[in-house]
Amino acid sequence: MNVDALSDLIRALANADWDTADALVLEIDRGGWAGGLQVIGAAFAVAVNQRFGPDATPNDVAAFVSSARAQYQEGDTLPALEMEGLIRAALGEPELADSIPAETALGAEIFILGQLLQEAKLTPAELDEFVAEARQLAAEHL
Amino acid sequence: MSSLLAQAVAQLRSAIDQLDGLAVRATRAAEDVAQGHARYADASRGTDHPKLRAAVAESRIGVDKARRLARLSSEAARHVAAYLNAVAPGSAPQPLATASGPPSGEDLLADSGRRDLARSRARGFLSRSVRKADELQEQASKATEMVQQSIKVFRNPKGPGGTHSTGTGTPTASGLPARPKMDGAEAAGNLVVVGLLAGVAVHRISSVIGERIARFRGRERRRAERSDPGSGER
Repeated sequence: MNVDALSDLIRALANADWDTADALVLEIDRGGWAGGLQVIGAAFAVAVNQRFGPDATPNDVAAFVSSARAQYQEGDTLPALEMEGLIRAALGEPELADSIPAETALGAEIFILGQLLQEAKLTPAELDEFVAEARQLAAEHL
Repeated sequence: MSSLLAQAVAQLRSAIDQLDGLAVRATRAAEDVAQGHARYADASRGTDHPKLRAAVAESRIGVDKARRLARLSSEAARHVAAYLNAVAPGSAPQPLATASGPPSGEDLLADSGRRDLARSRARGFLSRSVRKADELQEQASKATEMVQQSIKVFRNPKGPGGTHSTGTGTPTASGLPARPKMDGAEAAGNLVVVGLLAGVAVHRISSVIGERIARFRGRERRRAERSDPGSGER
Protein backbone atom coordinates (compact mmCIF):
# COMPACT_ATOMS: atom_id res chain seq x y z
CA MET A 1 0.00 0.00 0.00
CA ASN A 2 1.36 3.41 -1.03
CA VAL A 3 -0.52 5.60 1.42
CA ASP A 4 2.55 7.57 2.53
CA ALA A 5 3.79 8.13 -1.01
CA LEU A 6 0.28 9.12 -2.11
CA SER A 7 0.10 11.58 0.79
CA ASP A 8 3.46 13.00 -0.25
CA LEU A 9 2.13 13.35 -3.77
CA ILE A 10 -0.75 15.45 -2.45
CA ARG A 11 1.77 17.68 -0.65
CA ALA A 12 3.89 17.99 -3.79
CA LEU A 13 0.81 19.07 -5.77
CA ALA A 14 -0.03 21.68 -3.13
CA ASN A 15 3.53 22.99 -3.21
CA ALA A 16 3.77 22.91 -7.02
CA ASP A 17 6.87 20.75 -6.64
CA TRP A 18 6.62 18.95 -9.96
CA ASP A 19 9.98 17.18 -9.84
CA THR A 20 9.04 15.56 -6.54
CA ALA A 21 5.59 14.78 -7.90
CA ASP A 22 7.08 13.00 -10.93
CA ALA A 23 9.46 11.00 -8.74
CA LEU A 24 6.61 9.97 -6.45
CA VAL A 25 4.46 8.90 -9.40
CA LEU A 26 7.23 6.52 -10.50
CA GLU A 27 7.53 5.19 -6.96
CA ILE A 28 3.76 4.68 -6.67
CA ASP A 29 3.69 3.06 -10.12
CA ARG A 30 5.89 0.26 -8.77
CA GLY A 31 3.11 -0.60 -6.31
CA GLY A 32 0.50 -0.58 -9.09
CA TRP A 33 -1.46 2.37 -7.64
CA ALA A 34 -2.77 0.29 -4.74
CA GLY A 35 -4.85 2.64 -2.62
CA GLY A 36 -4.63 5.35 -5.28
CA LEU A 37 -8.33 5.74 -5.90
CA GLN A 38 -8.96 5.84 -2.18
CA VAL A 39 -6.31 8.34 -1.06
CA ILE A 40 -6.35 10.62 -4.11
CA GLY A 41 -10.12 10.22 -4.42
CA ALA A 42 -10.62 11.20 -0.78
CA ALA A 43 -8.36 14.26 -1.09
CA PHE A 44 -10.10 15.19 -4.33
CA ALA A 45 -13.58 14.89 -2.81
CA VAL A 46 -12.65 16.88 0.29
CA ALA A 47 -11.00 19.63 -1.76
CA VAL A 48 -13.93 19.83 -4.19
CA ASN A 49 -16.44 20.16 -1.37
CA GLN A 50 -14.34 22.82 0.34
CA ARG A 51 -14.07 24.78 -2.91
CA PHE A 52 -17.63 24.59 -4.19
CA GLY A 53 -19.86 24.43 -1.13
CA PRO A 54 -23.39 23.08 -0.94
CA ASP A 55 -25.06 25.39 -3.47
CA ALA A 56 -22.75 24.94 -6.46
CA THR A 57 -24.48 24.53 -9.82
CA PRO A 58 -23.35 22.56 -12.89
CA ASN A 59 -22.60 25.93 -14.49
CA ASP A 60 -20.22 26.79 -11.64
CA VAL A 61 -18.44 23.47 -12.19
CA ALA A 62 -18.21 23.97 -15.95
CA ALA A 63 -16.85 27.49 -15.47
CA PHE A 64 -14.17 26.22 -13.09
CA VAL A 65 -13.09 23.46 -15.47
CA SER A 66 -13.01 25.81 -18.43
CA SER A 67 -10.98 28.38 -16.49
CA ALA A 68 -8.55 25.77 -15.14
CA ARG A 69 -7.87 24.28 -18.57
CA ALA A 70 -7.40 27.74 -20.07
CA GLN A 71 -4.56 28.50 -17.67
CA TYR A 72 -2.16 25.95 -19.22
CA GLN A 73 -0.52 25.54 -22.60
CA GLU A 74 -1.68 21.93 -22.81
CA GLY A 75 -4.93 22.44 -20.93
CA ASP A 76 -6.98 21.29 -23.89
CA THR A 77 -5.49 17.79 -23.54
CA LEU A 78 -7.43 17.39 -20.29
CA PRO A 79 -10.85 15.68 -20.53
CA ALA A 80 -13.33 18.47 -19.80
CA LEU A 81 -16.51 16.39 -19.60
CA GLU A 82 -14.92 13.79 -17.35
CA MET A 83 -13.52 16.52 -15.10
CA GLU A 84 -16.94 18.09 -14.77
CA GLY A 85 -18.51 14.68 -14.15
CA LEU A 86 -16.03 13.84 -11.40
CA ILE A 87 -16.48 17.18 -9.63
CA ARG A 88 -20.25 16.84 -9.75
CA ALA A 89 -19.93 13.24 -8.56
CA ALA A 90 -18.03 14.50 -5.51
CA LEU A 91 -20.72 17.13 -4.96
CA GLY A 92 -23.54 14.65 -4.58
CA GLU A 93 -24.08 12.97 -7.96
CA PRO A 94 -21.78 9.94 -7.50
CA GLU A 95 -23.35 8.03 -10.39
CA LEU A 96 -21.72 10.46 -12.83
CA ALA A 97 -18.35 8.82 -12.11
CA ASP A 98 -19.56 5.34 -13.05
CA SER A 99 -18.83 5.57 -16.76
CA ILE A 100 -15.38 7.14 -16.41
CA PRO A 101 -12.47 4.68 -16.73
CA ALA A 102 -10.42 4.38 -13.54
CA GLU A 103 -7.17 5.61 -15.06
CA THR A 104 -8.87 8.62 -16.65
CA ALA A 105 -10.53 9.42 -13.35
CA LEU A 106 -7.23 9.24 -11.49
CA GLY A 107 -5.45 11.54 -13.95
CA ALA A 108 -8.31 14.06 -13.89
CA GLU A 109 -8.54 13.95 -10.11
CA ILE A 110 -4.82 14.65 -9.83
CA PHE A 111 -5.13 17.74 -12.03
CA ILE A 112 -8.22 19.10 -10.30
CA LEU A 113 -6.76 18.39 -6.87
CA GLY A 114 -3.52 20.15 -7.77
CA GLN A 115 -5.38 23.14 -9.15
CA LEU A 116 -7.62 23.45 -6.09
CA LEU A 117 -4.73 23.09 -3.65
CA GLN A 118 -2.67 25.73 -5.41
CA GLU A 119 -5.62 28.11 -5.44
CA ALA A 120 -6.24 27.48 -1.74
CA LYS A 121 -2.66 28.45 -0.77
CA LEU A 122 -2.81 26.41 2.40
CA THR A 123 -0.38 27.04 5.23
CA PRO A 124 1.78 24.05 6.23
CA ALA A 125 -0.50 23.42 9.21
CA GLU A 126 -3.62 23.58 7.04
CA LEU A 127 -2.02 21.22 4.52
CA ASP A 128 -1.23 18.78 7.32
CA GLU A 129 -4.83 18.97 8.44
CA PHE A 130 -6.08 18.47 4.90
CA VAL A 131 -3.88 15.42 4.29
CA ALA A 132 -4.88 13.93 7.64
CA GLU A 133 -8.58 14.34 6.79
CA ALA A 134 -8.08 12.73 3.39
CA ARG A 135 -6.17 9.79 4.89
CA GLN A 136 -8.84 9.32 7.54
CA LEU A 137 -11.57 9.27 4.91
CA ALA A 138 -9.56 6.96 2.65
CA ALA A 139 -8.93 4.55 5.54
CA GLU A 140 -12.67 3.84 5.64
CA HIS A 141 -12.40 2.39 2.15
CA LEU A 142 -9.01 0.63 2.15
CA MET B 1 10.05 44.15 -6.23
CA SER B 2 13.44 43.23 -4.78
CA SER B 3 13.88 39.74 -3.44
CA LEU B 4 14.38 41.16 0.07
CA LEU B 5 11.12 43.05 -0.17
CA ALA B 6 9.36 40.03 -1.63
CA GLN B 7 10.59 37.96 1.31
CA ALA B 8 9.26 40.51 3.77
CA VAL B 9 5.88 40.60 2.04
CA ALA B 10 5.82 36.80 2.05
CA GLN B 11 6.60 36.82 5.80
CA LEU B 12 3.72 39.16 6.48
CA ARG B 13 1.36 37.16 4.29
CA SER B 14 2.39 34.04 6.19
CA ALA B 15 1.73 35.83 9.48
CA ILE B 16 -1.75 36.80 8.26
CA ASP B 17 -2.45 33.23 7.16
CA GLN B 18 -1.35 31.88 10.52
CA LEU B 19 -3.45 34.36 12.45
CA ASP B 20 -6.43 33.48 10.27
CA GLY B 21 -5.75 29.80 10.86
CA LEU B 22 -5.68 30.43 14.59
CA ALA B 23 -9.00 32.23 14.37
CA VAL B 24 -10.54 29.30 12.52
CA ARG B 25 -9.18 26.77 15.02
CA ALA B 26 -10.40 28.81 17.95
CA THR B 27 -13.81 29.06 16.30
CA ARG B 28 -13.93 25.29 15.97
CA ALA B 29 -12.81 24.89 19.57
CA ALA B 30 -15.64 27.21 20.60
CA GLU B 31 -18.03 25.06 18.62
CA ASP B 32 -16.81 21.89 20.35
CA VAL B 33 -17.07 23.46 23.78
CA ALA B 34 -20.53 24.81 22.94
CA GLN B 35 -21.64 21.27 22.18
CA GLY B 36 -20.20 20.14 25.52
CA HIS B 37 -22.00 22.98 27.25
CA ALA B 38 -25.30 21.91 25.70
CA ARG B 39 -24.77 18.34 26.89
CA TYR B 40 -23.94 19.47 30.42
CA ALA B 41 -27.00 21.72 30.45
CA ASP B 42 -29.20 18.79 29.38
CA ALA B 43 -27.64 16.48 31.94
CA SER B 44 -28.09 18.99 34.74
CA ARG B 45 -31.84 19.33 34.27
CA GLY B 46 -33.70 18.13 37.35
CA THR B 47 -30.62 18.06 39.52
CA ASP B 48 -28.78 20.62 41.57
CA HIS B 49 -25.51 18.75 41.87
CA PRO B 50 -22.66 21.29 42.34
CA LYS B 51 -20.32 19.44 39.96
CA LEU B 52 -22.83 19.63 37.12
CA ARG B 53 -23.60 23.24 37.90
CA ALA B 54 -19.88 23.99 37.74
CA ALA B 55 -19.56 22.11 34.44
CA VAL B 56 -22.37 24.17 32.91
CA ALA B 57 -20.95 27.46 34.17
CA GLU B 58 -17.34 26.78 33.22
CA SER B 59 -18.15 25.40 29.79
CA ARG B 60 -20.11 28.60 29.14
CA ILE B 61 -17.02 30.59 30.09
CA GLY B 62 -14.96 28.35 27.84
CA VAL B 63 -17.20 29.08 24.86
CA ASP B 64 -16.87 32.81 25.46
CA LYS B 65 -13.09 32.64 25.82
CA ALA B 66 -12.62 30.53 22.71
CA ARG B 67 -14.79 32.97 20.75
CA ARG B 68 -12.74 35.84 22.14
CA LEU B 69 -9.56 34.13 20.98
CA ALA B 70 -11.12 33.74 17.54
CA ARG B 71 -12.14 37.37 17.40
CA LEU B 72 -8.77 38.70 18.59
CA SER B 73 -6.84 36.48 16.17
CA SER B 74 -9.08 37.60 13.33
CA GLU B 75 -8.66 41.27 14.25
CA ALA B 76 -4.89 40.87 14.49
CA ALA B 77 -4.87 39.33 11.01
CA ARG B 78 -6.86 42.29 9.68
CA HIS B 79 -4.47 44.78 11.28
CA VAL B 80 -1.43 43.10 9.75
CA ALA B 81 -3.28 42.91 6.41
CA ALA B 82 -4.13 46.62 6.58
CA TYR B 83 -0.47 47.46 7.24
CA LEU B 84 0.68 45.22 4.39
CA ASN B 85 -1.84 46.76 2.01
CA ALA B 86 -0.70 50.23 3.04
CA VAL B 87 2.95 49.58 2.20
CA ALA B 88 2.40 47.16 -0.69
CA PRO B 89 -1.15 47.63 -2.00
CA GLY B 90 -2.96 44.45 -2.96
CA SER B 91 -0.44 42.20 -1.25
CA ALA B 92 -2.59 41.03 1.63
CA PRO B 93 -4.57 37.81 1.16
CA GLN B 94 -8.29 37.74 1.78
CA PRO B 95 -8.87 36.76 5.41
CA LEU B 96 -10.33 33.32 6.00
CA ALA B 97 -11.86 34.08 9.35
CA THR B 98 -14.92 36.16 10.07
CA ALA B 99 -14.31 39.84 9.62
CA SER B 100 -15.59 40.97 12.97
CA GLY B 101 -17.14 39.67 16.12
CA PRO B 102 -17.63 36.11 17.27
CA PRO B 103 -19.67 33.74 15.12
CA SER B 104 -23.30 33.40 16.10
CA GLY B 105 -24.86 30.11 17.14
CA GLU B 106 -26.57 30.00 13.76
CA ASP B 107 -23.23 30.47 12.01
CA LEU B 108 -21.71 27.64 14.01
CA LEU B 109 -24.62 25.34 13.29
CA ALA B 110 -24.54 26.24 9.60
CA ASP B 111 -20.78 25.60 9.49
CA SER B 112 -21.23 22.27 11.23
CA GLY B 113 -24.05 21.35 8.84
CA ARG B 114 -21.92 22.25 5.81
CA ARG B 115 -19.04 20.12 7.07
CA ASP B 116 -21.37 17.17 7.70
CA LEU B 117 -22.81 17.50 4.21
CA ALA B 118 -19.33 17.75 2.66
CA ARG B 119 -18.17 14.62 4.51
CA SER B 120 -21.30 12.75 3.50
CA ARG B 121 -20.85 13.70 -0.16
CA ALA B 122 -17.17 12.77 -0.08
CA ARG B 123 -18.01 9.36 1.39
CA GLY B 124 -20.70 8.79 -1.24
CA PHE B 125 -18.26 9.62 -4.01
CA LEU B 126 -15.52 7.46 -2.55
CA SER B 127 -17.62 4.38 -1.87
CA ARG B 128 -18.77 4.44 -5.49
CA SER B 129 -15.43 5.15 -7.14
CA VAL B 130 -13.40 2.58 -5.17
CA ARG B 131 -15.34 -0.14 -6.91
CA LYS B 132 -12.91 0.49 -9.74
CA ALA B 133 -9.81 -0.18 -7.62
CA ASP B 134 -9.19 -3.51 -9.36
CA GLU B 135 -9.66 -1.88 -12.75
CA LEU B 136 -7.01 0.66 -11.81
CA GLN B 137 -4.58 -2.07 -10.83
CA GLU B 138 -5.09 -3.72 -14.21
CA GLN B 139 -4.50 -0.43 -16.01
CA ALA B 140 -1.63 0.69 -13.78
CA SER B 141 0.72 1.73 -16.58
CA LYS B 142 -2.05 3.73 -18.27
CA ALA B 143 -2.88 5.32 -14.93
CA THR B 144 0.73 6.38 -14.50
CA GLU B 145 0.70 7.94 -17.97
CA MET B 146 -2.49 9.86 -17.22
CA VAL B 147 -1.11 11.19 -13.94
CA GLN B 148 2.20 12.13 -15.58
CA GLN B 149 0.27 13.97 -18.27
CA SER B 150 -1.62 15.99 -15.65
CA ILE B 151 1.63 16.96 -13.95
CA LYS B 152 3.14 17.85 -17.33
CA VAL B 153 0.22 20.23 -17.90
CA PHE B 154 1.01 21.99 -14.63
CA ARG B 155 4.59 22.55 -15.73
CA ASN B 156 3.48 24.75 -18.62
CA PRO B 157 1.20 27.52 -17.44
CA LYS B 158 0.28 30.27 -19.85
CA GLY B 159 2.07 33.52 -19.12
CA PRO B 160 0.49 36.98 -19.26
CA GLY B 161 -1.47 37.43 -22.47
CA GLY B 162 -1.41 33.70 -23.15
CA THR B 163 2.31 33.45 -23.84
CA HIS B 164 4.36 30.44 -22.90
CA SER B 165 5.94 30.57 -19.47
CA THR B 166 9.29 28.97 -18.82
CA GLY B 167 8.98 29.23 -15.04
CA THR B 168 10.09 26.52 -12.67
CA GLY B 169 6.60 25.76 -11.44
CA THR B 170 6.99 27.69 -8.23
CA PRO B 171 3.65 29.27 -7.25
CA THR B 172 3.37 32.87 -8.34
CA ALA B 173 1.26 35.75 -7.19
CA SER B 174 -0.26 36.18 -10.65
CA GLY B 175 -3.71 36.78 -9.19
CA LEU B 176 -2.59 39.91 -7.39
CA PRO B 177 -3.16 43.35 -8.89
CA ALA B 178 -0.19 45.36 -10.09
CA ARG B 179 1.49 47.28 -7.30
CA PRO B 180 3.10 50.69 -7.45
CA LYS B 181 6.87 50.82 -7.11
CA MET B 182 8.24 51.37 -3.64
CA ASP B 183 11.25 53.24 -2.45
CA GLY B 184 13.44 50.15 -2.26
CA ALA B 185 16.05 49.91 0.45
CA GLU B 186 14.39 51.70 3.34
CA ALA B 187 10.98 50.16 2.80
CA ALA B 188 12.54 46.75 2.36
CA GLY B 189 14.51 47.11 5.57
CA ASN B 190 11.43 48.18 7.50
CA LEU B 191 9.35 45.40 6.05
CA VAL B 192 11.96 42.77 6.80
CA VAL B 193 12.03 43.83 10.45
CA VAL B 194 8.25 43.95 10.65
CA GLY B 195 7.96 40.61 8.86
CA LEU B 196 10.40 38.95 11.21
CA LEU B 197 8.71 40.43 14.26
CA ALA B 198 5.31 39.37 12.98
CA GLY B 199 6.57 35.86 12.33
CA VAL B 200 7.98 35.54 15.83
CA ALA B 201 4.87 37.04 17.40
CA VAL B 202 2.53 34.78 15.49
CA HIS B 203 4.59 31.74 16.39
CA ARG B 204 4.41 32.63 20.07
CA ILE B 205 0.70 33.46 19.93
CA SER B 206 0.07 30.23 18.07
CA SER B 207 1.89 28.19 20.71
CA VAL B 208 0.08 29.85 23.60
CA ILE B 209 -3.36 29.55 22.00
CA GLY B 210 -2.72 25.95 20.98
CA GLU B 211 -1.72 25.08 24.53
CA ARG B 212 -4.75 26.84 25.96
CA ILE B 213 -7.15 25.11 23.61
CA ALA B 214 -5.57 21.72 24.34
CA ARG B 215 -5.62 22.41 28.09
CA PHE B 216 -9.23 23.53 27.97
CA ARG B 217 -10.32 20.52 25.93
CA GLY B 218 -8.46 18.21 28.33
CA ARG B 219 -10.14 19.84 31.28
CA GLU B 220 -13.55 19.49 29.65
CA ARG B 221 -12.86 15.83 28.84
CA ARG B 222 -11.81 15.08 32.41
CA ARG B 223 -14.86 16.87 33.71
CA ALA B 224 -17.10 14.88 31.37
CA GLU B 225 -15.50 11.65 32.54
CA ARG B 226 -16.05 12.60 36.16
CA SER B 227 -19.68 13.56 35.46
CA ASP B 228 -20.27 10.32 33.50
CA PRO B 229 -18.35 7.51 35.24
CA GLY B 230 -19.65 4.94 32.72
CA SER B 231 -17.98 6.65 29.80
CA GLY B 232 -14.58 5.15 30.58
CA GLU B 233 -15.94 1.64 29.99
CA ARG B 234 -16.54 2.18 26.25
